[in-house]
Amino acid sequence: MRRVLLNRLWQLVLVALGLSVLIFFLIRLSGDPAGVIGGPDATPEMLQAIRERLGLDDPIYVQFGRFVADLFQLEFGDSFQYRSPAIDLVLGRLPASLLLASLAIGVALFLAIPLGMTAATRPGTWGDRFARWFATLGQSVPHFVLGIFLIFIFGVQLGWFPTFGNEGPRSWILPAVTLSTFIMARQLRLVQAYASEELTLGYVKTMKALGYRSSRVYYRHVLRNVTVPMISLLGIELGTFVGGAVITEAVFSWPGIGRLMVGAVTARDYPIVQAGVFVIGVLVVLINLVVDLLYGFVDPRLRAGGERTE
Amino acid sequence: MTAFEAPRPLPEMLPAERRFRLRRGDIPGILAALILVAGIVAAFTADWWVPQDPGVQDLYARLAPPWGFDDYQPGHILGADELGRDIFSRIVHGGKVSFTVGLSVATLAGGIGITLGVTAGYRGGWIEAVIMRLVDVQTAFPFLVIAISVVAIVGPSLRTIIIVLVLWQWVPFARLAHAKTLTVKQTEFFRAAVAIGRRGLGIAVRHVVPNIIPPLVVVWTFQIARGIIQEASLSFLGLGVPPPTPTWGGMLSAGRGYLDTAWWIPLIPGITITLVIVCVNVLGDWLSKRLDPRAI
Repeated sequence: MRRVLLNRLWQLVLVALGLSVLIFFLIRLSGDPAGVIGGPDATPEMLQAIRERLGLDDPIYVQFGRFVADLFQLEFGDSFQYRSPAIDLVLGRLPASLLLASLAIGVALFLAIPLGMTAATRPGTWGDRFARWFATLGQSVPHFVLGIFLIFIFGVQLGWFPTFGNEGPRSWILPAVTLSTFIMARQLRLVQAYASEELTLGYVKTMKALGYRSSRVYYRHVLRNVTVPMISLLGIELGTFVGGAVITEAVFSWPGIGRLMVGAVTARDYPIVQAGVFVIGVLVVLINLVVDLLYGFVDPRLRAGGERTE
Repeated sequence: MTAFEAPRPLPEMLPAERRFRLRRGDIPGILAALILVAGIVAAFTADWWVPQDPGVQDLYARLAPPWGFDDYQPGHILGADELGRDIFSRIVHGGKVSFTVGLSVATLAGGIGITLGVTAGYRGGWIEAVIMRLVDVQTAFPFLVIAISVVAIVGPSLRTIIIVLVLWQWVPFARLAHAKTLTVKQTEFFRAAVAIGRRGLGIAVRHVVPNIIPPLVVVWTFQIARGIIQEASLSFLGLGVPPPTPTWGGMLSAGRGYLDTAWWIPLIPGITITLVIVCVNVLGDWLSKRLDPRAI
């Protein structure tokens, strides 16, 4: 277990560094940030002044050295748009993003577990068919399309929910549902597949023969054995999930990191883009670390240092 | 990271002749395939048969609703957008970008991913370690975050989008090809081939690849869906193929402000994207059932 954790931490450093370097070179290769800051009316002298102020006229290796040194102090420079430190802006949006993400995962599991178990325990029934179609549809509707549909139905036509920004719990519902669909569909299929294999095992028959209620067998014992792959899938789908969160935030003008970054990208506000990519990279690796720890928590066999069986 | 793919032994390798017989469960899959083929053909031949030019602005038809609603303007069967451009033409022409990106990305990424995955599984050692570590890191990382940064910096164009997507989508192919190659290495026929002196590329192409193709076809289908979604997402954020080329994501994004007055402008492209993705996914599910020798 300790080896896994060390491995992860090492990966954390690598991913964060690699991404920052990638973004650094892409930005420097693609044109002159000074022109963006100065705007279309800037005179050559003004552009030169901006370059000097930001150190853009130094040789690229000097800039890179400074960039790496700054990186270790979490210093990404000031945002061009907001004139304040980019990292503070990004971290300031973090709570809103985490709120949306946890709500969405909550909704996803709340729907996926009962539907998946129904599909597994009652194959061929209407419940099973409904669950399968629900999963196919959930996997197929892109986040931004679903978001627009939900805004149209529940915001514009029915007027039940606000469709814009974060204004208390009522405004959380539509974005959370939108973001939850993909992960919900994937988890539903996984629960269904694993639970139906689990149901063929002897202990299920034994427990039923001993007179335990089916719901107890399914939700206490079968479900517990499905948790490990479920956690695993959460880790694997994390990348897609974060991408979906960016889109969802953009659709609902949710004040999170994703929307900040989309705005920064269109405004060529590179410090924010860099800080955002860095923070998201670190977060993703940290969450994967938590996932690895959860395995040990859920399955005691793995705590002893045993390898997960693939 | 990959604990959720249940280990199942590869059965007898593909039987040479398997008769194809239609069953009732095949109907959705075949229907989906037909719709997709029709859509692809329609999109790529749009220049020859779609009556209206997707860029022409008919100002009398501004915000005209689809057929069957009040104020319907003859000729604009799905209505017209805020500039009076015909939505039907733009949907059909917009399919060109979606299908080009989806098909080419999945195919290129498949080529790269299968090559790397088979190499990793067959050679082992440090090559395997490097490739599979890359797979792990890329799986975990949010593609879209990188994509929007890169596309915004480099500038959006069809080529940039395809390259960026390929650099991400090879991963699932590599993962599966790697796992399947390891399984094939355990089989009798593979050992027999090694015993009679087959090596290197020859054994990979002759004995490994043919036996791992069926599951990879399924991945290919799902990756087409992912490619289309990702292209549409980038277009929606304003980072897709730039105007005047119509794209579904771009149409949806531009029509967002008209949800309360002219819902057809954003909703029709949304329905189109969803329909296409549902078809691809249904096709993928069907193929995974049909191509799995165990299920027959």
